[in-house]
Amino acid sequence: MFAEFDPAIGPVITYQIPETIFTKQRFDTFSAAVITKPELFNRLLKANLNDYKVMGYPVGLDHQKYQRNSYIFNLCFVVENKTHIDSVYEPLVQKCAQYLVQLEQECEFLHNETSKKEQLPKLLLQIFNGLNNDGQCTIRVTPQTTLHLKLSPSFHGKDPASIAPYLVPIFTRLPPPVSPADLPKLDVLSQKICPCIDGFRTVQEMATSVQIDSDLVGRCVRNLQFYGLVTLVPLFLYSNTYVSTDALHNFFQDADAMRDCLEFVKVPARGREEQKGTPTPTAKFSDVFRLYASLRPGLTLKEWCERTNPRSLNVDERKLIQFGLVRGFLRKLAIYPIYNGKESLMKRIDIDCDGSRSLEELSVTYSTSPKDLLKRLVASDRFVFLTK
Amino acid sequence: MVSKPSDSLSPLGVVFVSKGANAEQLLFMYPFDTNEPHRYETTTYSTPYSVYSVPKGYLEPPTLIASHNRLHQDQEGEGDHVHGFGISESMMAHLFTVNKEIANQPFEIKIDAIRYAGFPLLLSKRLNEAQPSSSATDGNLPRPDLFNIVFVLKASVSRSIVASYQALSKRLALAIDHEESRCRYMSRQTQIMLQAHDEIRALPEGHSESAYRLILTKSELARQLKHVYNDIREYGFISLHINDWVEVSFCLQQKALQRVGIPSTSLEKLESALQYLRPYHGILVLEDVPLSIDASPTIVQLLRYCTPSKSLQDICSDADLPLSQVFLVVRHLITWCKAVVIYPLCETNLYAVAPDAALSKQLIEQFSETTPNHQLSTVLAEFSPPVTLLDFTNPMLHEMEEQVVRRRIVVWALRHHLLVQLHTYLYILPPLSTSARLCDAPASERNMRIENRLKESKLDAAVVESLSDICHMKRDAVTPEALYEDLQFFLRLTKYFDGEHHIEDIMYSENCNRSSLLRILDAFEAVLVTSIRQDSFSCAIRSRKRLDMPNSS
Repeated sequence: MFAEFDPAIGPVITYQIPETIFTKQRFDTFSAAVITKPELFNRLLKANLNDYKVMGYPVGLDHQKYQRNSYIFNLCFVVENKTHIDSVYEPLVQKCAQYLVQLEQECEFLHNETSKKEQLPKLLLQIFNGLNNDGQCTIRVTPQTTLHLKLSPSFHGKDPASIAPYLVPIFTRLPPPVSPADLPKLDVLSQKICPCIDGFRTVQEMATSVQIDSDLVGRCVRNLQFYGLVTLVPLFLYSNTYVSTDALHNFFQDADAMRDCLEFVKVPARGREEQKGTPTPTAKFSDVFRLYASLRPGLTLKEWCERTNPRSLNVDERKLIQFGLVRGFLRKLAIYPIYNGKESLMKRIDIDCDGSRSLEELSVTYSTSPKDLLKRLVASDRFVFLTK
Repeated sequence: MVSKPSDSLSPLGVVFVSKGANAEQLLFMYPFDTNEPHRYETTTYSTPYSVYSVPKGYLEPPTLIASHNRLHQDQEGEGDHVHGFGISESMMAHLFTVNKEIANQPFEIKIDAIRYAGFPLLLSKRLNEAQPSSSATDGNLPRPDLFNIVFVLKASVSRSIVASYQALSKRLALAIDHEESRCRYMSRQTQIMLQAHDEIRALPEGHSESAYRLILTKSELARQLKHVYNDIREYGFISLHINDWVEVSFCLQQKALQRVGIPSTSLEKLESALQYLRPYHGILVLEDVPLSIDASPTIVQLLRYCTPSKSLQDICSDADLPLSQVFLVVRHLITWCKAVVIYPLCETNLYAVAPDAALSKQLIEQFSETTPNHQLSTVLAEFSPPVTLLDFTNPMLHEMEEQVVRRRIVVWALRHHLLVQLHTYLYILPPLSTSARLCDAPASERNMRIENRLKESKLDAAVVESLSDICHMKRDAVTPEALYEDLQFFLRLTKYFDGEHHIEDIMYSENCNRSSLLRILDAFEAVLVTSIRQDSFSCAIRSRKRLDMPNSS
């Protein structure tokens, strides 16, 4: 929808693409939020009506060539009120407005009646179709200006959190969404990093192996996570304790997830020649479920392995845990040391252990392994440990 | 009292606007003396690729009109400076007084990082004519056509919170409208506010008086709005009488629960969780409930009888109330965030530290006040790994007094959502494929009656095989009749072994005691898988279903 201030009749909707949604009367009820007073120019404005949401970015231009020395327009996106995902359009609204300003400044795209009448509706329709069909569009308007618009579905109005170096990135799909053939298309950093993502190495370890700053690797992983290609799991350790969450029951009821799981947890065939031909045996669902359910608080994975011997059931315990973590029906119990000493706080670590930092986080701060840190903290006898 | 600024659920402010013959007017807003400069979080999405090239043509390009020339506006003084609310007062008055066509329905608008939610209401026409009306002054009262109480929120709040604030605005608006028809309340208050604005405007230049401060001393409605703002921020709950006549109460569930340390949830989730409420549940009253004078006597009675170790069923029989009524009251208490649902305290209950437990300083202090001899962190550490109430209050280790204290600690921790109860859920599945067969006796040696009974059951072949083995193994320990009885009972229970029912639920449904149930479960352990987790009620409240995802609108 394209609205502007007509010197003769006030705020009007000039174009509605692809079809008329708002009548003149209807528009008048909310025109104050579309063609605004100068105070709200260049600000993202959204009005929630009972059936639609109208979001726009009002722009005012000053020049003596305009009839009242200024020209106000607003290119609004209209979505249904029910939708939750309208925030993905917000950056686009702003970008479109800026494109139009640029076009107007360069070649009087909006001032010139012929170019407006001929090109603008076409342009709006192209944007509408492009975004609705492909989620993106590239439109060449003039030889100088090309519109590039792309929706990013995971954008919720804020930036994703930064990545802690002790987390492990893992691809969300199998086979990995980034296949070797795709690699050359990626940026240089991702080209190096993607092959390292195996679901076992932490961001820190990957950074060491490709010899790139871990902060940069973290940012690249964050970018991949933003587009839903990877997810992050805690580092796999046999000293960790994993427990099932209430989502385990959903897994029990989900036949597809079970099939994926059985396929995923297979023990990889060892390099022996005679085994190459024979398919690796698949575990039984009842066994896998029993294994998941037997993960208990107070039982480290090492103890659990000794008790259940998953390999004998053709189950790779590392993959079993990975699958559960990614699907969200397992979680790692985190240990939170809390300073409990009688004397007043002496060292930095005493203050840091206030129950808000997990062992992993602390071990990064003090650049040691979680295991060693835990040993030392236990030995000092001044801490209690919460697992949750 | 002002709560933490990081609090995203609380309103940033409340604005009262009206529109009448005398044009749109911002009558009152609170807080009005935000001295701290508000940071404008203007959402600008910039990309390094957007480079503006200004062509060096003969034509000077049109220049963008800057949006907020705030400095300029601030110098103007005269009540038209941009407040902590993102936009100027005149702009608010202009935007919030909507056209008649979209009045009487929820109102929401978002500008950059701030969201405005309200409910514009057209004053209803019915004036109480019967009243011997109007002294001369009454006739001159300015009667606005429309007014709107708008809450200023952060843009990141979820949709359900926006809806809550809209509902609150509507409640207040309807109460005011009623009072207007009864005794011209709105008109009088409007007059007071307008007069105050005029008075301040008449003061000489350079004064520092705020019209809103003056209004606050003079107008009852303004004071009520201040209360609304403060109470929502502080408690997430309001209860007040507009014009000392109409009671308006409101509960912002998300906020009210957060206050007692329980992770925020929403009304929708509470409602969806209520379907899992069973008579064997109990309730834990969160604090002394100040009851309104109009409160139903049932609530009073229920509150008198409820203790953490009683189930709703027990309360029914003690308070002599029908179960359906108890359910209604419990539902009421829960939606008003006065109570949480627990499984009644019992020695076999298994408790663990809540995964999202947050140890705030405030909680730690509160704990040491109530229980001087214990340290919260040490106590909670005893629950990792999870322990039962019996183990925690171990009578072998602790004196009677200490046991009572320890029980109280558990109740306290449950109330503040530091502990959660884990229930045992059961699944029926064949034994591990590596485990050896229990026995390999030929079919001819086995008890025919049991074999036939097993054949009738619709269980998985592997499960039937193991059951048959188990029964055969036990043939010497128990009489065939007793064995058959046990199997019969077990087969009856199989309908609960789908992971939907926990042991306590089965006990309630089958009306059997724990020991006989555990004996059967033990006997047929080989075909059962147990999984411990929180019960469906707690899960539904905490579910990460997309009900409450960040609102983008």
